Amino acid sequence: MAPGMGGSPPGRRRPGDFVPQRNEEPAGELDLEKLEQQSRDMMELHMLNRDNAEFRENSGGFLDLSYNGRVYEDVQVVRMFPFSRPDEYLSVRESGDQAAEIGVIENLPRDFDGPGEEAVRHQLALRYFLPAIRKIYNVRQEMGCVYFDVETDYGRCQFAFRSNSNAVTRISESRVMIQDLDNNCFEIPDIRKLTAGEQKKLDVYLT
Amino acid sequence: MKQLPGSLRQELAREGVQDNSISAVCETDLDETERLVHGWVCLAGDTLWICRSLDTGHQTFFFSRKGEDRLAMKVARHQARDLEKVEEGEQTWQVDAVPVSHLGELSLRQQGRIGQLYLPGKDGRVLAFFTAGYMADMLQLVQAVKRQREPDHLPDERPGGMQEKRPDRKPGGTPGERPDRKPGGTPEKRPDRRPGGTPEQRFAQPDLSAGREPEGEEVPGRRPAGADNRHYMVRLLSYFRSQLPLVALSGLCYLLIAGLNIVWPYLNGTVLYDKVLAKDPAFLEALHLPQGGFAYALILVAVAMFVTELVQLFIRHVKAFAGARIVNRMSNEMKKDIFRKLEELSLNFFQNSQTGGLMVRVQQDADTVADFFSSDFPDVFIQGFTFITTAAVMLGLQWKLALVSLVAVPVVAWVSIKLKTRMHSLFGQRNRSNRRLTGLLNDTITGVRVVKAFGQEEQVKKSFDMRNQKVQKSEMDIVGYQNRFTALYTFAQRLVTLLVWAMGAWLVLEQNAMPYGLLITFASYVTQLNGPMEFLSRAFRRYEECMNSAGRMFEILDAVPQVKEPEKPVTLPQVRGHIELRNVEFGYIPNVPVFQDLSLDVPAGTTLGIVGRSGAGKSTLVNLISRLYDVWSGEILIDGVDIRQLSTAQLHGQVAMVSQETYIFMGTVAENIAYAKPDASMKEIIRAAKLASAHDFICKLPQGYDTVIGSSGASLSGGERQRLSIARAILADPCVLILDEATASVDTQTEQEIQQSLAWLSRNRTTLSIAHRLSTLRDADRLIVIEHGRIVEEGTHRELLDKKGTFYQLKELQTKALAMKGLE
Ligand SMILES: Nc1ncnc2c1ncn2[C@@H]1O[C@H](COP(=O)(O)OP(=O)(O)O)[C@@H](O)[C@H]1O
Ligand SMILES: [Mg+2]
Repeated sequence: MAPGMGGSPPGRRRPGDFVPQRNEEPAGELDLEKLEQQSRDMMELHMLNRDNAEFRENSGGFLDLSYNGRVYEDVQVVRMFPFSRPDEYLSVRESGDQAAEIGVIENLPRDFDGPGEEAVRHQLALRYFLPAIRKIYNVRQEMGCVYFDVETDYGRCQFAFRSNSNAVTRISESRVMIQDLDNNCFEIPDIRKLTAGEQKKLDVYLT
Repeated sequence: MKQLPGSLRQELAREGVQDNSISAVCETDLDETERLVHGWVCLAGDTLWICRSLDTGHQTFFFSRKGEDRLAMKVARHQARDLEKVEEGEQTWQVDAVPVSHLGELSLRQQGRIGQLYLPGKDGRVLAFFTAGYMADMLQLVQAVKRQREPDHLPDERPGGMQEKRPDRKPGGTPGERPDRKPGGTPEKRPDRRPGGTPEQRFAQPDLSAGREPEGEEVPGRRPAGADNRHYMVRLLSYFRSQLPLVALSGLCYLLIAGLNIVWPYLNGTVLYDKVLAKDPAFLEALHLPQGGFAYALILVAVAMFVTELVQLFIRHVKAFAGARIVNRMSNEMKKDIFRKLEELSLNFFQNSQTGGLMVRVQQDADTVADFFSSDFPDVFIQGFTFITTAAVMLGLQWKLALVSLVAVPVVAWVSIKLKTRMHSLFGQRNRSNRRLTGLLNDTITGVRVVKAFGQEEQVKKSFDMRNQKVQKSEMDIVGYQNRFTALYTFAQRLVTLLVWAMGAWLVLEQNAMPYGLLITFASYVTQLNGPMEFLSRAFRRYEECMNSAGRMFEILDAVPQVKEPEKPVTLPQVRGHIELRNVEFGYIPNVPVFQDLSLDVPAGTTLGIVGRSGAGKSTLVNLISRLYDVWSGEILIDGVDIRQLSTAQLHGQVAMVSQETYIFMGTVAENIAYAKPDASMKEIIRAAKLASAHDFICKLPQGYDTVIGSSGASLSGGERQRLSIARAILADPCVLILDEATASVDTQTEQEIQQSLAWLSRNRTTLSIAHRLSTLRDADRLIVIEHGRIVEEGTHRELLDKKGTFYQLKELQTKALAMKGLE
């Protein structure tokens, strides 16, 4: 565990961050130990759970985290495995460009509960806006672009992607993900539930 | 030891040299004017005999001896046997004796592709010239001479003794043959070498080939097609063995169809016209029909014709089904075999082939072959059968008319056979030019950035045009040839039809020699003969096409993997990581060694820094340790075991390499990291990524660790790919870690981070580190400096700097260069 972690000055990128050393003659026992310490810090995944961390949604709708005695405002929650493990291995990061990792939630429902879990889930829902496609009205291909006209659980919408890209990916036997030109994601939870005609329209783009 | 030719032995005997006193021999093939002259150098007792043939007629000179091509090698050996018989007693020799005591420092040198055995010094002279292929033999001879001069050397100290320990060396392997050369020296067969090897490649030594007599005519390109094709045919047929029932079924179908083919014209000609319409009473009797019941007979014949047609339809259907089944399975089998083989083949195979078309080719070739076997091969039987039966029936019915109908057959057959040879070479040409075009396309597409960066578009376009024209031309040649034949064939066919009608009409009208219905039958038969004739006209072309494809396929199937899994692999219970190189000799190109005698010892758990200018052989060294290639001679040991005896799985599990070239497989980021350890937990994967400074950029990917990367997936930057491969190595937790300029393609900031992880990673682990930035090697336990395949300096960082040698110079250079860029 990195005790220095919480006290890191905001400018630092992450605990155990390596500061370029300029001295010519580093060797020696002491340095080795330091190096080891640093590496261990780097390697360490700071696991967040209800005992050491608390998430709270603030008035602005942002997520705040207090962890190891320090309060991080407006943190981001990133899914490491958005497809295969949406509720596990969530990376909690500082706001801003650097977005240094504060810690990892290994398993959201297991390690958190109550309003904390809710807050994180809300954050995730915003970040991973993923309309599910219920119905495919029309698919047409023009000039290397494919235009979809669909009904989603958020309403009807149209989107496009390049026909020669791998925009349509199969996540599992029945689950399909579509990423459009603007990096929006759409999901078809179960293609078997589509009509035969709809499946046929989709088939061309499925890899 | 190679056998001296009999005539030379006799000559030497005349000089008083006993056969059994000859202790080393080496063949030579050049004289001082670099003409091809057969010669030998023999050591007998304490005299070195320089022998040269005075007879330049019989040259046993083959490029294959220089490790050109495996097939050529076979051919050459075959021929060499024949030629040696010819040589017996037919050559006259000039022999010169040089006492070993006069030989001083007998030396070898190589200038380009020509080797020389010479005596250095002011009164030095060259004793023998030879092409570089004999270098190895000559080296043995020189060592033998040295031993002769300094008898205190123990006989078993000869280098051959050491090699005999090698597992793959046959006991009693003759020193002259150097079998150990072949795995490394002869690149396994390159698919683009044959039959399409470019002439430039094959005749890499044009000045040498000039003096060559056509006796060695059978170089691979010009080898007669027949022998090999028959061989291919037999092997292709073996793919059918597993599906004999289906084959039998379709064979039966073919026979039935051919039989029905005979019946139909007879029904619709002779029976219909001459029996029914001509009201032949005998016919009714034969059918047990009442007198005058010709209407019944007509119905009967119509029904018979209808049934025949129906049956034929059904049989055709069954045949098509069986055929498709067979072919499908066959082509699958072939593709499977080939891909299995490709996996097994080493890196070298791919580096040596114009990989551009490789995969496409494999697919296409398998399909071509399968196609041939589905439609053309059975046709041989069906058409042959149809032809023979039709001809026989025709001859039986009316031999005069039959002869007229058959008159064109020999002509078509003759032309077809003529055509075959020409087609063979035309197809070869087309394939070659096609392959070069694909190669260029591939190179251009993969290197498009370089092409653009250097403004070479015009250049590339030009060479594309050129190659494209060649493809076009060869395609046109084939089409033109075919057209000429088709024209001839159509003409012959029309002529025959005309002749048959004319002669038939004459026979019917004037001679009354045959009934009208028979003429109708005959006309149908003539049309039917067109089938076999047409087949004949395309059979050879299709056959050549198929054999061309089959040849290429078998080339891959027959390629010997350069790096072979040992027969009895040793698995070490625990690898500590002690690496030792002993007298390693290795090169990529035959006779051009990168290392000649490299020895190195890296104790377990230490870090060795490898320094050298680019091209010095640093990457080659580490590639050898991870056994991407096998050494020519000498050995590489891990914990005292030759890596060629270690199980490949263990070797690859325990030796991990992070190099400039990163390999990304089609799959998710997580799968890519876990490549060497598929059962790794998510936590382990994330940890490894974190340690490799990859975690942050992965989290920034919209799909995180689930992002699909690889050939058709998301693209990563060079630095990102490199960090992934470091993560992969970290997760693999190998005993031996090889870093070949691992941080070459990352920015300084990231490099610092990665260096940190690498430093941590290499603790207590044998590490071989090649760094493009010399300062990163400060902490290595030991550094070696390689230059021209030799270790020129060795020591710690400080020692080498104090020595002010090559390392010092390199470091100075780099510091200055970096200072100019404002770094360090
Ligand atoms: N696949 C190859 N085929 C032929 N020659 C090669 C091949 N790879 C490397 N070489 C040659 O071997 C020599 C050593 O190369 P390499 O080990 O890559 O050098 P380094 O890593 O020190 O820059 C160079 O002369 C290079 O041209
Ligand atoms: Mg290199």
